[in-house]
Amino acid sequence: MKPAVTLMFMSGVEDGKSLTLLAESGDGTLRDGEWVLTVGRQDDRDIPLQRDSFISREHARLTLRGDRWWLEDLKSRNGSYVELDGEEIRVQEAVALHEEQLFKIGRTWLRIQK
Amino acid sequence: MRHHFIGAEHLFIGALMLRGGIIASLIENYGYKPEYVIDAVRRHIGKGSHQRLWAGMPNSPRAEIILGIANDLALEDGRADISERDLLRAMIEEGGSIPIRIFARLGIDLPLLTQDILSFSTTSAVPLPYVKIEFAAGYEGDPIIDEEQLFVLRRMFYGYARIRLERRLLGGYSGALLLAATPIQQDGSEDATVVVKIDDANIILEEARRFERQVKTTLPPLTARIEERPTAPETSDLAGIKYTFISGIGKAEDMREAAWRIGLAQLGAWLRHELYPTFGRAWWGQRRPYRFPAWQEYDFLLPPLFILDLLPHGEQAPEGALLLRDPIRRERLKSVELGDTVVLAGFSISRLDPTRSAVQLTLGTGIEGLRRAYRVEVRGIDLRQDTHYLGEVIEQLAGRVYATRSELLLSMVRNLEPDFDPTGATIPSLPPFERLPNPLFHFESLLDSTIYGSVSRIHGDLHLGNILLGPNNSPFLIDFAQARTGHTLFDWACMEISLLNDLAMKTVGQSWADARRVLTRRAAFDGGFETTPDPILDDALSPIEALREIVVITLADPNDWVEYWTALTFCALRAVHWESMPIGSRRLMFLLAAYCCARLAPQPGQTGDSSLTADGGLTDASASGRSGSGLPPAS
Repeated sequence: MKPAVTLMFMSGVEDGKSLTLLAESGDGTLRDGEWVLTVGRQDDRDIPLQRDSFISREHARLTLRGDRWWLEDLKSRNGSYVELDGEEIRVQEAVALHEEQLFKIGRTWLRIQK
Repeated sequence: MRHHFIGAEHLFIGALMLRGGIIASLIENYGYKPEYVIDAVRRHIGKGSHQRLWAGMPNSPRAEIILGIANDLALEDGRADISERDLLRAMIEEGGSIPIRIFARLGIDLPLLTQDILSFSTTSAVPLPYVKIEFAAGYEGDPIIDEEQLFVLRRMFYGYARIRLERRLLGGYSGALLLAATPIQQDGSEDATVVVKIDDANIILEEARRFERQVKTTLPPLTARIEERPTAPETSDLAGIKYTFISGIGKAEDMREAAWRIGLAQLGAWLRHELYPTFGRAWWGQRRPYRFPAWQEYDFLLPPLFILDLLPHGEQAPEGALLLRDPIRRERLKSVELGDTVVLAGFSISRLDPTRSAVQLTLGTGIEGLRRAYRVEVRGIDLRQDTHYLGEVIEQLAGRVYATRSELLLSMVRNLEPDFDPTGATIPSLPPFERLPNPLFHFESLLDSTIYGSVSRIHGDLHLGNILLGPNNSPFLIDFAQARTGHTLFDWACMEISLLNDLAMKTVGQSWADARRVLTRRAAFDGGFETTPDPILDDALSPIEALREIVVITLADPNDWVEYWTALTFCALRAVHWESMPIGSRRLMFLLAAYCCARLAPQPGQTGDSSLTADGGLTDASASGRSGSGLPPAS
């Protein structure tokens, strides 16, 4: 399994930037057929969001199970959200993301590119 | 909104606020109040915070894309400037920005909106007569101005009968042409003398942009301003800009010359009591706390990370080649060796060098690239055959490492013909420092150290050549090409480099022994040891005392000089390879970097002996942040 993903920033100073992560080049952790990416403030996170002061050190986790992405908040201070029908819903436990769905980590909107 | 960047949403809010503008009118036709839409955007993104996590006011990548599309639309239409309509069309075409998402939420039909935006109109321009150029009787300096510069000069003074060139100014270390010129009307009456700068069009346009955004609103009432738009003829690679002096300027003398006339002791007092308070009110005095890794503000002063030789056509990068892309894992950079293959992804061109068939790439996009970290030079690109342009994003490129930064720095030092081994852990100096740490062993860990400092508006290229002395000894600054929000002490570290090169080194020779003598006398200002005075040199160095006073004011913690020594290390290392600087000064710069490294060592007092190991003390000192490192200033 050689999963890869491209995320795009949808707000903030990095709005429009895309970030490609490849398991092959050591991004994320592969375990039991799942690919786990961590999101947080520090640059040793797979997805470092250093330009958002609303991000916790270890903020959230994105997991690829099968062909579906899951977003899980790691008890961060400012929470993680998904957009559903124009509403922001705070993530309580892991939620599945559908293609191109916007989600917010701290203050930063992101989406998984097709 | 305290966002500290310009994104698509800010461009959009700006357009909405134009009373009677296209989008404001259309939105109202659709039944929404502009305020309601602005509010919807604001709710979606929230308010920023007090704490700054980056310096300056960058455009977001998406805003850059939108502006790029808008620029293309304007060009297609034969215009040089972007109109509101171009901007709106570009935003719709790009499609992913927050305002467009909000439109979708409000149920606004985008194809219909595009149609409505297209149903509006525009205007055009005029030709030019000849402007005569003459030289004043006392015109000093190299009279040679080439044809292309003359062409731009004429364009700049379109409408005048003639202009008289008063003198040529020394300016900075760049290749810019700086002239004091007096424009003369058709009826023979003279207008006020202005200072003209002619340089590469990209640099001039960037300076004008920075002046508008960073400088204009922060200047003291009587000083040099850029009052007009820059002149950038389409048929030339050059462009020009005028600095107008609000209070009038008689002789237009820069400080590099004036310093000797007014006296060096007076220069110090003038820097501290004229220049600093006059500009400090809106610049260095407006400091806000800023915590940053040193590389974020200082990496750009060093040579590129590597020089790569482009892989021959058709050759694939081997498995396991280092892939450099955002986000960069800094620790992986350190393992790179000569001959390794490196793959760059998502870099953009920040400099083209056709004579050497080389380009310089920086990570990320946008004009700020010139100052970004992660610069790489790539050789073997035939710029006559392949067309490349500044700002172009290179999706992927592979090359073999021809030289690393450490090697580039080492060869810079070798060019100074050292009378010591430049690969040793320490280098010789004069008493009281028998040996100083070799900065080549320390710059990497210094780049990774965290600085607890401050951010403010800075000039970005502060040196005596950019300071003009006006009437009543008022200070005029020129050359705002590097003006930005950045580390406050950067300006003053640059100033120290200038004071040492332009003044102190002028009183001695160019040998290593002369450079060591200057360093020792310079170090005496920091106190801590007994020395014998050296009257002429000490007089030339006397402005350092005033500089130290300014540094104490601008330090985040006046008792902790780590912030300053770090800034000075990188400024000095940069100057080691400034070709326009005499070799003696460049030797001094290397010694100065070594001295700063000694100051940054963890044991106060024990400067410069073998207690500094290649990767030892310095890392610890910087990791522990502000504690202990750096000697306190002499009281």
